[in-house]
Amino acid sequence: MKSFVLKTIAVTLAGMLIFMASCNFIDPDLNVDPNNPAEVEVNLLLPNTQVALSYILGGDFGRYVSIWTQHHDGIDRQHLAYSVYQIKETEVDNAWNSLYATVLSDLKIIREKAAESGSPYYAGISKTMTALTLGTLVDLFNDIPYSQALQGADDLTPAYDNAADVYAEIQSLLDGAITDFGSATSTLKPGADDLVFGGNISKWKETAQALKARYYLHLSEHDSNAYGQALAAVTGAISSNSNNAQVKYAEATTSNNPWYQFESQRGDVVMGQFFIDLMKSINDPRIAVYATTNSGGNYKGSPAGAPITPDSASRMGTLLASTSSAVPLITYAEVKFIEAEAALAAGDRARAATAHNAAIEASLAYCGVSDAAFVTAQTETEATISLEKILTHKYIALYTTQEPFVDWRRKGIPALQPASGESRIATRFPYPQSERLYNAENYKTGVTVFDKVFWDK
Amino acid sequence: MRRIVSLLVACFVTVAVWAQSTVTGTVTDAESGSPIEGAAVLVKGTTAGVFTDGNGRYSVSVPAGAQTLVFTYVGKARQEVAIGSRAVVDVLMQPEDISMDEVVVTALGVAKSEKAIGFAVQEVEGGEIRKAGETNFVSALSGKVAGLQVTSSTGTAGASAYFQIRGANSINRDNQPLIIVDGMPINNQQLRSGDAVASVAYSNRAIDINQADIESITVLKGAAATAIYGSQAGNGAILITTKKGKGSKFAVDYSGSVTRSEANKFLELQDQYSQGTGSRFSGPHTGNAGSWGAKLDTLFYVKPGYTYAASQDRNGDGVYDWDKNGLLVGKSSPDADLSNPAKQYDRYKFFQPAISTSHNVAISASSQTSSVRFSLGFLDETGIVPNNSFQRINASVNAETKLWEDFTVGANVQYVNSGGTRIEQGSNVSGVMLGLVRTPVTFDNSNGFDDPSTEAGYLFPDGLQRAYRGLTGTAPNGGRLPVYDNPYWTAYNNPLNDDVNRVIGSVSLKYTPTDWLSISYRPGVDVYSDVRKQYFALYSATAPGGSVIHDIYNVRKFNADLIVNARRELTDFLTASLTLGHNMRQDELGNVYTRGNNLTIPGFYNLSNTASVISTEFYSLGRNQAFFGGLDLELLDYFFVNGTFRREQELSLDGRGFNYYSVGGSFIFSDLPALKSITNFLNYGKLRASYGLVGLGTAAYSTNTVFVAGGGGDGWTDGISFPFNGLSAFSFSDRLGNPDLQPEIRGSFEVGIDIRILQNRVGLDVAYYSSRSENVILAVPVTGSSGFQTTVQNAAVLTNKGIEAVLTLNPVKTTDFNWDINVNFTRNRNNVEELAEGVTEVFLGGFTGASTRAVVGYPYGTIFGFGFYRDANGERVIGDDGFPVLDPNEKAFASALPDYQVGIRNTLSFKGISLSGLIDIKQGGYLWNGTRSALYFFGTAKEAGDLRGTQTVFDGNVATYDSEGNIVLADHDNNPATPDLPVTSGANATEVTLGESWLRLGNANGFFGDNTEDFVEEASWFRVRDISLSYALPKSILGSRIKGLSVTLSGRNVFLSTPYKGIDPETNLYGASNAQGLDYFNMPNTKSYTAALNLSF
Repeated sequence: MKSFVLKTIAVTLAGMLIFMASCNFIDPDLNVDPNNPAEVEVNLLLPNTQVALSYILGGDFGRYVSIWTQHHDGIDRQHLAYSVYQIKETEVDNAWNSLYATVLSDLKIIREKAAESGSPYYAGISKTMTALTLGTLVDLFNDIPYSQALQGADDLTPAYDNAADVYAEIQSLLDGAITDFGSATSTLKPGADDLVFGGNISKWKETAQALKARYYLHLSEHDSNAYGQALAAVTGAISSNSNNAQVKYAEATTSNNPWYQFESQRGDVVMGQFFIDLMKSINDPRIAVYATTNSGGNYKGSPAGAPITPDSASRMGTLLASTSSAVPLITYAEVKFIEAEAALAAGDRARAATAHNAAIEASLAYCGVSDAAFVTAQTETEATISLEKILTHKYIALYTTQEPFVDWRRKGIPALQPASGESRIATRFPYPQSERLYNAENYKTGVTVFDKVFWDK
Repeated sequence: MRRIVSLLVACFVTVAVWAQSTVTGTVTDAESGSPIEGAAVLVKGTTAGVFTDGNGRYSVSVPAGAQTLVFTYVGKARQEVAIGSRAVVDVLMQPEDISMDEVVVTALGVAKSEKAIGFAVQEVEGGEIRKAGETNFVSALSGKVAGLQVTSSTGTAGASAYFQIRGANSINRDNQPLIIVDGMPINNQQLRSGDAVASVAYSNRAIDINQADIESITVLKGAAATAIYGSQAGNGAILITTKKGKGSKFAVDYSGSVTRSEANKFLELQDQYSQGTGSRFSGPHTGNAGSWGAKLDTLFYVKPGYTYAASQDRNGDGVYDWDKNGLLVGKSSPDADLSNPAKQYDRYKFFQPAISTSHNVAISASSQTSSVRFSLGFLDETGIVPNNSFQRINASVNAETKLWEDFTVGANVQYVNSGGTRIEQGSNVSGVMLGLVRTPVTFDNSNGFDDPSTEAGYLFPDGLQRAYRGLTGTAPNGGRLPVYDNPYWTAYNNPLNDDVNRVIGSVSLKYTPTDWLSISYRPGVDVYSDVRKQYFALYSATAPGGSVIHDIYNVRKFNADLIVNARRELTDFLTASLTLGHNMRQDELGNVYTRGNNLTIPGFYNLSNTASVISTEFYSLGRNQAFFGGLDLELLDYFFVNGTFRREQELSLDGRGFNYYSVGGSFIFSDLPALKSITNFLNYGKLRASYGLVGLGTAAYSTNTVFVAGGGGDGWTDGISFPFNGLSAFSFSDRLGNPDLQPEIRGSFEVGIDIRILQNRVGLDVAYYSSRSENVILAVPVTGSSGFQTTVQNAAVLTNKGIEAVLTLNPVKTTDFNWDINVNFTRNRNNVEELAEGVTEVFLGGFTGASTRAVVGYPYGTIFGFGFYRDANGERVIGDDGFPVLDPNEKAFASALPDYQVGIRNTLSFKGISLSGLIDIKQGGYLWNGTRSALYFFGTAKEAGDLRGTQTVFDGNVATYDSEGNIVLADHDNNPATPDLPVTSGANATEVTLGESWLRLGNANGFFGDNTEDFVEEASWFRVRDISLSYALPKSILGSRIKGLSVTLSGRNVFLSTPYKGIDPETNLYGASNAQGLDYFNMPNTKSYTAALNLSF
């Protein structure tokens, strides 16, 4: 009997121990992800937004657009289809989702956190990059979700904003950014985490100003005040090549430039015939850094829609497609080209010619090439300057960026011919599949790649 | 202590009452007929008692007034025998579990009368498992259990096997049953070290179980059977009972086997056309990818003495580097040696016969109060792929002792060391099959060397790889690379070695204060580390600079059950048993993955020798605790009702509590007095029905949204990962966590009937079930403009309905000859009823253009991809060029799930000879034969040779075109519910020639997945899963020292008939994963023959 009592006590004690242990066993605080932080400061968010945005500009968007502007030609697989304007809705999903769910979403968080901590410099960078991202999206998709976007569970199917309204928002964001950059202090100050300028706020201010000029200029066919506003905005915009806004990539395998990665991992894109022939026709020295020679030692581009064999075509050169090449966001040369076009429209031909010449010199310097004979030959005067010349040189200087596609849609310069077998050149992207499937109530049906964005008349 | 005291007392008393009467006798084992040594003989009501001697004899003094002797022995039923006036009482001891009614193991290891359970349970004997000759016991269950579907991933040594009971219930969570070894749930993950579609064939951790230790396996199928386990057994449970020391006092058992395996089925390749394009031969030095070259009979090797270019003969020895038989040239070439025609090299020569050996020794000992079994197992398996191997060492101790008469403690500890050398496969330019079956018939990967490890076979003198696609790539240091690795290079230069060290252990305490009450507590752990090291040699196609990978997993599981059992006869007609319990469990998984790229010193595989190192870390914690109870009522011995209840708290759901329950009943109509009169015909008849509701938790950390390490790209390239140039960064996750997440709930109903007639010679057990899984957790895709790409939601609904039947026949039964037939039938119908709102399909695995998905309205795991346009009549649409036209939209084809499966086991035994064979039939179920698809492009597919140059008229209707040359579609509204079908005009009559342009580019258009339809193949099979002949030597020959000796010759997978055009269709690219139905350069399966010896002392 005694042992029975002992054993009963032992079992009861054991039961109590188990019960006590189990009281704290399920503690909801333990269901916290130890692999990923629940909170991070703005300096840890900024670098990824810069890489993600520039990777789309130097990746998906850069390739699709440069094929349509015939800087490049797609010669195999999907890129062959792009060269004849066949682009599927799934092929813009990645860029769309990355620009919204990573870039714009994180930039929004940076703005919120910057406001909390009293850090206007981060707020300004966020606004400037948001403006650039929105401009890029509108220029390719026209109406996009913005005012209702990025709300997570509160609105999983955001409504679309009118593209012109988003353009107005871009200017207002940039004005806000310029105000922020003018602040005397900022609790948190960007430094090495700012991959564009290493925390140099005055350069950011110039960038915001330059972007204002760019997005006014885009409205040249839509708004009669646009040229005047663009010309005004040029003042205070990027003032030298050393202030160019760009994201520099690096040697390490996981930090390589997007053009380089595509070239080395896929390689279905080669230089376009129109672009190569254009540069050859004016003995442009930049050809040496923009392109490589083909297996025969010559510069040769592939004609749009009629691909030549890979070994007979020139491929991307060292300037923009090396492991550590930069992806430009906006440059001094572009500012000068904007000034040239806007001044020409205002009737100030002298200023236009001067800006045009400065833009070419800036581009050559950016490319690290010099050719006095070429510069002399391309120098324009008050008498000779023309829109054709400005935009043709802009087409060469802004190779790999989105701007030549905007300019061609605005002004039809240079005079691109549709790809072989096609009657027209695409003028926008289809909306992504994710919008059709998961935002069906707001999705805009009936859009084709030959429709025009609002400023394209 | 008490035992010793009582024995001392017993001795004292024995002496004290010597004068009184003495009873003697012999205690014999009823099963074996041999005497039992060490059985306890007690005089009831006294402390007097003795043990039997070596001959089973005893002699006990019985005090006056004592009337009963009690005989006990471990593993045998306790017996009370009235002494009466006898002086000699002989006793036959029956096994403990065998009584009038059969007993089955149910949840929590509780043995219940078979009559009393309201759900389907099926038991497989350990011997049946071992007959299969598989390394992985999961594979060994194939065809043996109704309702259980097993898929082995490949035939390589150490490969995983996947199993599922009654269909898939979950989208993103594991659909496999819980494995419980002697009450302790164990891990059965398949952990990867790389891309799911590339990399090697990994093990699932069930492979660590030594089949020689398995006494029996019980399969609990439905929700009602497992509800008391709660969320962890939402997909059913597999209870493994291991062997324990019992029966004789001391025994030694040895079993050993030698197995020879070989590949059982290959994809057929064409051997008529050479490497090249446009019917022109282009040799390996040109890097040409395809086998669209000249016909073989037009090609000859060059004459001896031919002078090669420096690039073709690097070391200047006059021998063509790419082929020691020389360069091939056309018949008309002046260099052609017309006496030396082109050879047809056998690409499958790469696979080699493989030998495996196993040894198991078990020592067991027992007494009336204690038992112990120690076992040691050793397995050494080589693969049919050179350098592939798997080894396993098992050491286990299983001990139990009665500290007191009413208090038992036990311990069960098992150590496992397993692992091997695994070879790259799948969609992988370093994968064995990818490089091998793309090889043209005119290229010999081993260059004539028979020993596969001969480096001269696959290397050039300068150490670069000799492979059929030339040296067209460039390594970072400027070295030259082939496009695909030579399979021999892969086998010897890119291996993955894994080393698993695992301990599974549990302790059990059982206290039985009275005969109707027991309290037991069983804490246990399953802990393992899996240390993997892989390297890629410099100039490997997947890692041109070479790399070293360390991937280290630490996995820990803790489980503790406190169970109180009470059973009382309340009245003459009502007996109740009540179970109450508490369960705590914890699952931890830690991982550190480190990859170093770009080797500095070739051939030195250490992270210190790499130029850049990337490391990632992961840890997850899962916890669950539950209170549970079960009540069983027996009415009049033939009516049974049972119910269970469980309340759980799940950490992954932030500690919220949820309830699960089950109810069931059975009715033994054969025991009805009215039916007893026909007992001669109906021996047993039972009707049963049950309903159960179980739930599943979610993956750890699904309830909140976190910041994740930065990185990304554009979907075409590797992209960027942070640290970027030395700088860290994070991004708010694209996956929106859900703090309101509920458990997945699965309700399941089943009814069944079990009938045995003709003296139990014929038995049939049929079950019908229907289950519905709701609140299935899904990462629901949302548009990026919401700020996220997925949100975790309880969204999907899946149903499974099916029929299972087990038929047992015993057509012949004589003293010497016995014939048993056992048939298992399985039929399950799965349907994805709902996904999230607006979501029609979810990707489970595969490629763009050929994947396996959950699609609303289709069975889980439906193959999805591109196919040909169909018109309104369902006819193929033929273009004006006479060729079928591809539909630009992806669509659902067929499911990997079979229509039904049948396993038929015949066992014939005559005296000591036993012949047994299992026929395994699978009807229906489809696989995407991605290998054959790709080989159309490369031109090595058999059809690419057979069809080339033939004329055909494609069946179908001709498309109509508009003025711009586009195919006219009806109903052009972009609504997926009403597809835009092409308008056709009459049957096609255009005869076309099938050439390279169609076979290579048109049909398998765009190379990989763009035509999925032609490569979705029926994967039915008829196979002899195993066959074995064994002979047990009679006792008369063995003498007294040896208790048993038997020899067995067996074959596994010896016959296969299937319409599938690839390798053995029992394969899966993803291994043990929810993504079933994909074959993309998977390794072949094997058949094997084994000789085994069993010896016991």
